[in-house]
Amino acid sequence: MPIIEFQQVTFQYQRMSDPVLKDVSFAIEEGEFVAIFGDAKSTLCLCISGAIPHLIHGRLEGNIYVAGVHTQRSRIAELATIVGMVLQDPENQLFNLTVEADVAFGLENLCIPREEMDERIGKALETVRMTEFRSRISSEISGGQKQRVAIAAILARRPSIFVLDEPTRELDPMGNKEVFEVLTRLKQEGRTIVIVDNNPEFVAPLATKILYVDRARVHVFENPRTFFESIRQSPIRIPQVVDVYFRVREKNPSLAGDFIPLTVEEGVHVFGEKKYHRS
Amino acid sequence: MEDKKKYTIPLSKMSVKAWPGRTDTQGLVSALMLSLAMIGMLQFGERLDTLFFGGLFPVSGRVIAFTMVGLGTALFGGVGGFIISEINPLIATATGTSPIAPFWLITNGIQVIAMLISGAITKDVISWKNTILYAILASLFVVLLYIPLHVFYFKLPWSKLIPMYSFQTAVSIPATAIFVRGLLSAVRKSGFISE
Amino acid sequence: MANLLYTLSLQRRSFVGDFHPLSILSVVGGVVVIVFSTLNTWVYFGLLVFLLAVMVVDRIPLKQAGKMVLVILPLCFFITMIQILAQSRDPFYAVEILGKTITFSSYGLELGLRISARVFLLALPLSLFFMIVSPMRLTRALSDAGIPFKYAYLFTLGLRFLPLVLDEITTINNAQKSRGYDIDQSNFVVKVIKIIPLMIPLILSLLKRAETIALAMDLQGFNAYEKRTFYVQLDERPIDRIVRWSSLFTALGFVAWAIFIQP
Repeated sequence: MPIIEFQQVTFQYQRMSDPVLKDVSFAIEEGEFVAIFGDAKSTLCLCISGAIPHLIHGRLEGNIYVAGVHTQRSRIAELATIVGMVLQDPENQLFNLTVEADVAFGLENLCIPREEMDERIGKALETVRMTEFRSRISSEISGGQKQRVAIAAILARRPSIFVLDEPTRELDPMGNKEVFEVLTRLKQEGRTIVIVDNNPEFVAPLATKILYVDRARVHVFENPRTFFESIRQSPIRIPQVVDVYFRVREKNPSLAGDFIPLTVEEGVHVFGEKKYHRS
Repeated sequence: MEDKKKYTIPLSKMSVKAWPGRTDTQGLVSALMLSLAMIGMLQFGERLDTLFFGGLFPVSGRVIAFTMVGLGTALFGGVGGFIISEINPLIATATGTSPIAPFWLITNGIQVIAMLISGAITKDVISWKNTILYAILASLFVVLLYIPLHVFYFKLPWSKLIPMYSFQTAVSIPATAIFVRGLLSAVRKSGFISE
Repeated sequence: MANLLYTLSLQRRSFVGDFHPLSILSVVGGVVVIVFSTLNTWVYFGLLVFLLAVMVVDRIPLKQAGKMVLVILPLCFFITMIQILAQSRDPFYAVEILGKTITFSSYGLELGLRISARVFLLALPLSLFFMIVSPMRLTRALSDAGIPFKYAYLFTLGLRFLPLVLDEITTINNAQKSRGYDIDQSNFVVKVIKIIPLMIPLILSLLKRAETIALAMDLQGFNAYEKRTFYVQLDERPIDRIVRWSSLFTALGFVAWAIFIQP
């Protein structure tokens, strides 16, 4: 059974005249790392987490299942144990005065026994490499560290699915790197991750599936390389190494070959042993 | 467990939804943010008020408090209004922003009552009628509350109180009415409110 | 952030801080009642010694009390001046201005100083309370006392976001200055009017931020269930009950003394 399933989902915000999602159907298997590009990315994330329709109003049709649970028919508290969502601005996701209290917050809300909390908090902070910051005041840590604490707060709840909506948008390059190191570790642990991010360089190498939302429809790409091939003419930003590959292929197809590199290492492998001849 | 409803902010329909108003998470957090905004703005006004009798008869502070509490009550109802009015002095004390803030606990709260009453009478919180009536009621209630404080606690003579109260009231009524009306209109035009 | 009073309570555990927050609050309440019930100099002196002793025992820097004195000094000065000029008993000086005689009363001076002491003794215990009791413990105590958690929690939430809001005000002020709208360079009347272009963007941006914060809180199950568990542990010891009852009886005793016995 897929861990996330959309069945003919249509959603229209309360004050908008057209639906932002129209008849959307797709499935995500457990352990997949899925990147979302295009329009209505945040809307998809909010649907998966259950924020739509419980917290954000509009007209929702169709069925959304997460770990077999129907989101419209379940309470947000139940969904919070299945889906953990990280939002864009880390400042708006930490509500307590210390890091430890922030990680404990969700556990308290969901009535996790006190005896279990210590262990969960410790493990969560260890996974995001923030153990030494446990007693620190939340407002005194950097943006990247805050986002890692936000991820730890979700980890402590042990959800099956992680949804991240532009988690690095407000971060500097260092913070960016820290967050993606955590996500790489989570992927290696076999977690299901759905992410929206404007840094395709970081996302593309990790993604096992791409969802592309175009004019309210969702197109599923099982291979990121075919996705970047298909959106060449669109304004969506592609990884630099992919851009270089396409430009080289335009000028000299034999030099580029068929394999689209997603990382600098792959790019070196594609181009490194070949010489470029001026004609 | 109660179902979570999406409340429309009780704007222009105060008589029905004024109490308790919005008690969902967004309503409570929004009211809290307005309370924090009040602390920040009071820091602007504090320097001015200190020049006037050391803050004993604050003018700009009063206008800011009336405005923010009135705005919050109109937007979020009674509970939201009380959050703005009561959390503000506690946080101001806890952060050392204003050690004498506890004095405002009662006087801030009475402003919520003033807006609830004026809203119930006028039935349209964005109207000039409502904001002027609110400003008058709030000024009256606060003066009545301050009398025992100033007379019994600060032992101030009546002869000195009347001109000071008159000056405060003469400034705070028109200023509050203008500010509250302006801010309510701005918030409605921004699209945050669904009526 | 490090300069905000309550951060002291977050950075350490203390002897007084280990008492139940409601016990400490009962002591504060008792002090407030005593201060309101009398203007007796010796009582005020005793209370001041008590509060300073609490600061010493709890290792709270005494300069915090000094800072508070500086903040309320203008208020105390004006209270005293008004009393000196308003009271007519025991005049020590008189001056004639525009045909009118203005007397300066020594009784007024004494009264003004006592009221100033009263203001200080009302401000100090509450400030000390927040320096000693961590907001999380206070939230837990209020919740245990029956206040719904969603309301009890607002205080902690407010402390968390206050620095952000203050930064936002600075940013908006600077943005308006860069457009030639400088509130700091105006006289009093203009300054009051010029606050509006600060208020509108501030309020709108905070309402927007509140939307996101509320969403994030709800996604973490905030207020999902009536009952919740707590990470912070609060023990109510026998000494806590003793402290509360002692505070109550002491305060009532002072009130009775002030009404029936005090000259």
